[in-house]
Amino acid sequence: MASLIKFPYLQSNTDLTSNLTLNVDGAYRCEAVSNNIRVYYNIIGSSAGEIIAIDVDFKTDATSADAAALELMVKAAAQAPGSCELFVLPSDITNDGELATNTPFAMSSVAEPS
Amino acid sequence: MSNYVIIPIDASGLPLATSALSGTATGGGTVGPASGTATASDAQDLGGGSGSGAKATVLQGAANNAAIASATITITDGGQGYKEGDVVTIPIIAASGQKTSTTAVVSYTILAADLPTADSQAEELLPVEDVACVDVVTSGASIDILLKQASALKKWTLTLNGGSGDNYEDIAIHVNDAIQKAMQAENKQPIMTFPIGVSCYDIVLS
Repeated sequence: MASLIKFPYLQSNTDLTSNLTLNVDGAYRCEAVSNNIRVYYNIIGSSAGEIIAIDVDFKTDATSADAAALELMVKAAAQAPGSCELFVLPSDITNDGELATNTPFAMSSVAEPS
Repeated sequence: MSNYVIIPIDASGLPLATSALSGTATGGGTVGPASGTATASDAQDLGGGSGSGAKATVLQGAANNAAIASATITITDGGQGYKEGDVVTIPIIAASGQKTSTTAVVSYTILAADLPTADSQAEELLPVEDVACVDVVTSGASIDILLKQASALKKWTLTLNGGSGDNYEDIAIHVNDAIQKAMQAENKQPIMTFPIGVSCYDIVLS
Protein backbone atom coordinates (compact mmCIF):
# COMPACT_ATOMS: atom_id res chain seq x y z
CA MET A 1 0.00 0.00 0.00
CA ALA A 2 1.28 3.43 -0.97
CA SER A 3 2.99 5.74 1.48
CA LEU A 4 1.48 9.20 1.26
CA ILE A 5 2.17 12.63 2.69
CA LYS A 6 -0.57 15.24 2.69
CA PHE A 7 -0.16 18.99 2.54
CA PRO A 8 -2.67 21.71 3.48
CA TYR A 9 -4.40 23.22 0.45
CA LEU A 10 -6.86 26.11 0.63
CA GLN A 11 -10.05 26.45 -1.38
CA SER A 12 -9.89 30.19 -1.98
CA ASN A 13 -13.60 30.60 -2.71
CA THR A 14 -14.65 29.00 0.57
CA ASP A 15 -11.63 29.58 2.80
CA LEU A 16 -11.82 25.90 3.75
CA THR A 17 -8.51 24.17 4.10
CA SER A 18 -8.29 20.66 2.73
CA ASN A 19 -5.31 18.60 1.62
CA LEU A 20 -3.52 17.37 -1.46
CA THR A 21 -1.44 14.23 -1.19
CA LEU A 22 1.87 13.14 -2.63
CA ASN A 23 2.78 9.49 -3.16
CA VAL A 24 6.30 9.18 -1.76
CA ASP A 25 6.93 5.53 -2.62
CA GLY A 26 10.39 5.56 -4.15
CA ALA A 27 11.20 9.04 -2.91
CA TYR A 28 14.58 9.21 -1.22
CA ARG A 29 15.79 12.79 -1.02
CA CYS A 30 14.47 16.35 -0.66
CA GLU A 31 16.20 19.62 -1.44
CA ALA A 32 15.23 23.26 -1.48
CA VAL A 33 15.29 24.34 -5.13
CA SER A 34 14.07 27.74 -6.37
CA ASN A 35 12.06 28.31 -3.19
CA ASN A 36 10.27 24.97 -3.63
CA ILE A 37 11.03 21.58 -2.12
CA ARG A 38 12.20 19.12 -4.76
CA VAL A 39 11.42 15.49 -3.98
CA TYR A 40 13.68 13.04 -5.85
CA TYR A 41 12.47 9.54 -6.78
CA ASN A 42 14.54 6.49 -7.63
CA ILE A 43 12.92 6.39 -11.07
CA ILE A 44 14.85 6.83 -14.30
CA GLY A 45 14.14 10.14 -16.06
CA SER A 46 13.59 10.90 -19.70
CA SER A 47 17.29 11.44 -20.51
CA ALA A 48 20.53 9.75 -19.49
CA GLY A 49 21.67 10.71 -16.01
CA GLU A 50 18.26 12.07 -15.06
CA ILE A 51 15.67 10.96 -12.56
CA ILE A 52 12.08 11.89 -11.87
CA ALA A 53 11.46 14.66 -9.34
CA ILE A 54 8.43 16.53 -8.10
CA ASP A 55 8.66 20.15 -7.01
CA VAL A 56 6.33 21.01 -4.15
CA ASP A 57 5.42 24.69 -4.21
CA PHE A 58 4.16 26.47 -1.10
CA LYS A 59 2.65 29.90 -0.63
CA THR A 60 5.76 30.80 1.34
CA ASP A 61 9.29 30.20 0.09
CA ALA A 62 10.67 26.90 1.37
CA THR A 63 14.09 26.70 3.02
CA SER A 64 16.77 24.03 3.27
CA ALA A 65 15.57 23.28 6.79
CA ASP A 66 12.05 22.74 5.43
CA ALA A 67 13.41 20.32 2.85
CA ALA A 68 15.28 18.43 5.55
CA ALA A 69 12.10 18.18 7.60
CA LEU A 70 10.16 16.80 4.64
CA GLU A 71 12.96 14.31 3.90
CA LEU A 72 12.65 13.02 7.45
CA MET A 73 8.92 12.58 6.97
CA VAL A 74 9.45 10.84 3.62
CA LYS A 75 11.79 8.35 5.26
CA ALA A 76 9.32 7.75 8.07
CA ALA A 77 6.47 7.28 5.59
CA ALA A 78 8.51 4.74 3.66
CA GLN A 79 8.59 2.62 6.81
CA ALA A 80 4.83 2.91 7.28
CA PRO A 81 2.95 1.65 4.22
CA GLY A 82 -0.54 3.12 3.98
CA SER A 83 0.36 6.09 6.14
CA CYS A 84 -0.70 9.63 5.26
CA GLU A 85 0.90 12.13 7.62
CA LEU A 86 0.36 15.89 7.35
CA PHE A 87 3.35 18.07 6.46
CA VAL A 88 3.07 21.74 7.38
CA LEU A 89 5.92 23.90 6.12
CA PRO A 90 7.89 24.52 9.34
CA SER A 91 9.22 27.96 8.42
CA ASP A 92 5.84 29.32 7.34
CA ILE A 93 4.27 31.51 10.01
CA THR A 94 1.94 33.50 7.75
CA ASN A 95 0.16 31.03 5.46
CA ASP A 96 -0.35 28.01 7.71
CA GLY A 97 2.13 26.00 5.66
CA GLU A 98 -0.25 25.78 2.74
CA LEU A 99 0.57 24.72 -0.78
CA ALA A 100 0.50 27.28 -3.57
CA THR A 101 -2.91 27.17 -5.21
CA ASN A 102 -1.87 27.35 -8.87
CA THR A 103 0.95 24.82 -9.20
CA PRO A 104 1.36 22.93 -5.95
CA PHE A 105 3.07 19.99 -7.66
CA ALA A 106 5.18 19.91 -10.82
CA MET A 107 6.89 16.79 -12.15
CA SER A 108 10.07 16.94 -14.20
CA SER A 109 13.05 14.91 -15.26
CA VAL A 110 16.14 16.38 -13.60
CA ALA A 111 19.81 15.66 -13.20
CA GLU A 112 20.46 13.15 -10.46
CA PRO A 113 21.65 15.10 -7.40
CA SER A 114 25.28 14.63 -6.42
CA MET B 1 -3.53 -6.84 -6.87
CA SER B 2 -4.28 -3.44 -8.35
CA ASN B 3 -6.20 -0.58 -6.87
CA TYR B 4 -8.51 1.42 -9.09
CA VAL B 5 -10.74 4.44 -8.87
CA ILE B 6 -13.92 4.51 -10.95
CA ILE B 7 -14.49 7.71 -12.88
CA PRO B 8 -18.06 8.27 -14.10
CA ILE B 9 -18.29 9.69 -17.62
CA ASP B 10 -21.03 12.20 -18.38
CA ALA B 11 -21.21 13.36 -21.99
CA SER B 12 -24.79 14.63 -21.80
CA GLY B 13 -23.68 18.24 -21.75
CA LEU B 14 -20.38 19.57 -23.06
CA PRO B 15 -18.53 22.83 -23.58
CA LEU B 16 -18.45 23.98 -27.18
CA ALA B 17 -15.15 23.50 -28.99
CA THR B 18 -13.23 26.78 -29.11
CA SER B 19 -12.96 27.01 -32.90
CA ALA B 20 -15.06 28.18 -35.82
CA LEU B 21 -18.53 26.63 -35.89
CA SER B 22 -18.73 24.01 -38.60
CA GLY B 23 -22.27 24.65 -39.87
CA THR B 24 -24.12 27.59 -41.35
CA ALA B 25 -25.84 30.27 -39.30
CA THR B 26 -29.30 31.54 -40.16
CA GLY B 27 -30.96 34.90 -39.71
CA GLY B 28 -32.84 37.32 -41.90
CA GLY B 29 -30.42 40.19 -41.72
CA THR B 30 -27.06 41.09 -43.14
CA VAL B 31 -23.56 41.38 -41.77
CA GLY B 32 -21.71 44.70 -41.74
CA PRO B 33 -19.68 46.82 -42.08
CA ALA B 34 -21.09 48.40 -45.24
CA SER B 35 -17.66 48.95 -46.77
CA GLY B 36 -14.02 48.19 -46.24
CA THR B 37 -12.36 45.21 -44.62
CA ALA B 38 -14.20 43.78 -41.67
CA THR B 39 -12.68 42.71 -38.41
CA ALA B 40 -14.24 40.29 -35.98
CA SER B 41 -16.87 41.55 -33.60
CA ASP B 42 -16.31 41.66 -29.88
CA ALA B 43 -17.14 38.35 -28.20
CA GLN B 44 -20.88 37.98 -27.73
CA ASP B 45 -22.79 35.89 -25.20
CA LEU B 46 -24.65 32.97 -26.76
CA GLY B 47 -28.27 32.58 -25.75
CA GLY B 48 -30.56 29.58 -25.97
CA GLY B 49 -29.70 25.89 -25.99
CA SER B 50 -29.23 23.71 -22.95
CA GLY B 51 -25.88 25.14 -21.99
CA SER B 52 -24.60 28.42 -20.69
CA GLY B 53 -21.57 30.64 -20.65
CA ALA B 54 -20.39 30.34 -24.25
CA LYS B 55 -19.10 33.36 -26.14
CA ALA B 56 -18.43 33.83 -29.83
CA THR B 57 -17.16 36.39 -32.30
CA VAL B 58 -18.71 37.02 -35.72
CA LEU B 59 -16.65 37.86 -38.78
CA GLN B 60 -18.21 39.11 -41.99
CA GLY B 61 -17.90 36.87 -45.02
CA ALA B 62 -16.36 37.84 -48.34
CA ALA B 63 -18.69 40.69 -49.18
CA ASN B 64 -19.92 43.76 -47.30
CA ASN B 65 -23.54 43.53 -46.21
CA ALA B 66 -23.60 39.84 -47.10
CA ALA B 67 -26.16 37.43 -45.71
CA ILE B 68 -25.62 36.18 -42.19
CA ALA B 69 -25.08 32.68 -43.56
CA SER B 70 -21.73 33.79 -45.00
CA ALA B 71 -20.35 34.92 -41.64
CA THR B 72 -17.78 32.97 -39.67
CA ILE B 73 -18.71 32.39 -36.05
CA THR B 74 -15.84 31.47 -33.76
CA ILE B 75 -16.34 30.19 -30.25
CA THR B 76 -13.98 31.98 -27.88
CA ASP B 77 -15.35 30.54 -24.63
CA GLY B 78 -16.92 27.09 -24.72
CA GLY B 79 -19.14 27.54 -21.69
CA GLN B 80 -20.70 24.32 -20.44
CA GLY B 81 -23.65 21.97 -20.85
CA TYR B 82 -24.30 22.11 -24.61
CA LYS B 83 -25.42 19.22 -26.80
CA GLU B 84 -25.99 18.44 -30.45
CA GLY B 85 -29.20 19.97 -31.78
CA ASP B 86 -29.20 22.93 -29.39
CA VAL B 87 -30.24 26.14 -31.14
CA VAL B 88 -28.14 29.03 -29.89
CA THR B 89 -28.51 32.68 -30.74
CA ILE B 90 -26.35 35.77 -30.94
CA PRO B 91 -28.09 39.10 -30.37
CA ILE B 92 -27.93 41.94 -32.88
CA ILE B 93 -24.46 43.48 -32.91
CA ALA B 94 -24.46 47.25 -33.36
CA ALA B 95 -22.24 48.84 -35.98
CA SER B 96 -18.84 49.93 -34.65
CA GLY B 97 -16.22 51.02 -37.16
CA GLN B 98 -14.84 48.08 -39.09
CA LYS B 99 -15.96 45.55 -36.53
CA THR B 100 -18.50 43.08 -37.84
CA SER B 101 -22.09 43.98 -37.02
CA THR B 102 -25.43 42.28 -37.67
CA THR B 103 -28.91 43.53 -38.45
CA ALA B 104 -30.78 40.54 -37.03
CA VAL B 105 -30.43 37.89 -34.39
CA VAL B 106 -28.18 35.06 -35.58
CA SER B 107 -29.38 31.50 -34.99
CA TYR B 108 -27.23 28.42 -35.16
CA THR B 109 -27.94 24.72 -34.58
CA ILE B 110 -25.11 22.95 -32.76
CA LEU B 111 -23.63 20.04 -34.74
CA ALA B 112 -21.61 17.11 -33.40
CA ALA B 113 -18.51 18.65 -34.95
CA ASP B 114 -18.94 21.72 -32.77
CA LEU B 115 -18.52 19.67 -29.60
CA PRO B 116 -15.34 18.07 -28.25
CA THR B 117 -14.83 14.32 -28.46
CA ALA B 118 -16.23 12.54 -25.44
CA ASP B 119 -15.48 9.13 -24.02
CA SER B 120 -17.99 6.52 -25.17
CA GLN B 121 -17.96 4.53 -21.92
CA ALA B 122 -20.22 5.13 -18.97
CA GLU B 123 -17.24 4.94 -16.65
CA GLU B 124 -13.50 4.46 -16.74
CA LEU B 125 -11.24 2.53 -14.37
CA LEU B 126 -8.06 4.35 -13.52
CA PRO B 127 -5.28 2.39 -11.81
CA VAL B 128 -3.75 4.35 -8.93
CA GLU B 129 -0.64 2.32 -8.01
CA ASP B 130 1.75 4.58 -9.89
CA VAL B 131 -0.06 7.88 -9.34
CA ALA B 132 2.24 10.50 -7.82
CA CYS B 133 -0.15 13.41 -7.31
CA VAL B 134 -2.69 15.63 -9.00
CA ASP B 135 -1.55 18.56 -11.11
CA VAL B 136 -3.87 21.52 -10.75
CA VAL B 137 -5.16 23.20 -13.92
CA THR B 138 -6.27 26.71 -13.03
CA SER B 139 -8.80 27.06 -15.87
CA GLY B 140 -10.83 24.20 -14.40
CA ALA B 141 -11.34 22.81 -17.90
CA SER B 142 -9.35 19.70 -17.00
CA ILE B 143 -7.15 18.20 -14.33
CA ASP B 144 -4.01 16.12 -14.67
CA ILE B 145 -2.99 13.11 -12.63
CA LEU B 146 0.80 12.68 -12.72
CA LEU B 147 2.29 9.19 -12.87
CA LYS B 148 5.57 7.89 -11.49
CA GLN B 149 6.85 5.99 -14.49
CA ALA B 150 10.37 5.53 -15.76
CA SER B 151 11.78 7.27 -18.83
CA ALA B 152 8.87 9.54 -19.62
CA LEU B 153 6.65 12.07 -17.91
CA LYS B 154 3.20 10.57 -18.15
CA LYS B 155 -0.18 11.71 -16.93
CA TRP B 156 -3.88 11.09 -17.13
CA THR B 157 -5.87 14.12 -18.21
CA LEU B 158 -9.50 14.32 -17.16
CA THR B 159 -11.41 16.81 -19.32
CA LEU B 160 -14.27 18.43 -17.47
CA ASN B 161 -17.58 20.11 -18.06
CA GLY B 162 -18.47 22.78 -15.53
CA GLY B 163 -14.97 23.57 -14.33
CA SER B 164 -13.77 27.15 -14.14
CA GLY B 165 -11.26 29.44 -12.53
CA ASP B 166 -13.62 29.65 -9.57
CA ASN B 167 -13.73 25.96 -8.66
CA TYR B 168 -10.46 24.45 -9.85
CA GLU B 169 -9.15 24.05 -6.31
CA ASP B 170 -12.31 22.22 -5.27
CA ILE B 171 -11.94 19.96 -8.31
CA ALA B 172 -8.34 19.17 -7.35
CA ILE B 173 -9.39 18.30 -3.81
CA HIS B 174 -12.18 15.98 -5.00
CA VAL B 175 -9.92 14.17 -7.46
CA ASN B 176 -7.13 13.94 -4.89
CA ASP B 177 -9.47 12.54 -2.24
CA ALA B 178 -10.77 9.82 -4.56
CA ILE B 179 -7.27 8.73 -5.53
CA GLN B 180 -6.07 8.75 -1.95
CA LYS B 181 -9.07 6.66 -0.93
CA ALA B 182 -8.35 4.16 -3.71
CA MET B 183 -4.68 3.93 -2.75
CA GLN B 184 -5.53 3.22 0.86
CA ALA B 185 -8.44 0.84 0.29
CA GLU B 186 -7.25 -2.61 -0.72
CA ASN B 187 -9.77 -4.55 -2.80
CA LYS B 188 -12.09 -1.59 -3.19
CA GLN B 189 -12.85 0.61 -6.16
CA PRO B 190 -14.15 3.94 -4.92
CA ILE B 191 -16.09 6.18 -7.27
CA MET B 192 -14.62 9.59 -7.99
CA THR B 193 -16.99 12.45 -7.29
CA PHE B 194 -16.73 16.01 -8.52
CA PRO B 195 -17.99 19.31 -7.13
CA ILE B 196 -21.65 20.10 -7.86
CA GLY B 197 -22.09 21.03 -11.52
CA VAL B 198 -18.81 19.45 -12.63
CA SER B 199 -18.50 16.20 -14.58
CA CYS B 200 -15.84 14.38 -16.57
CA TYR B 201 -16.43 13.58 -20.24
CA ASP B 202 -13.04 12.41 -21.48
CA ILE B 203 -9.93 10.72 -20.08
CA VAL B 204 -6.65 10.53 -21.97
CA LEU B 205 -3.26 9.05 -21.08
CA SER B 206 -0.34 10.98 -22.51
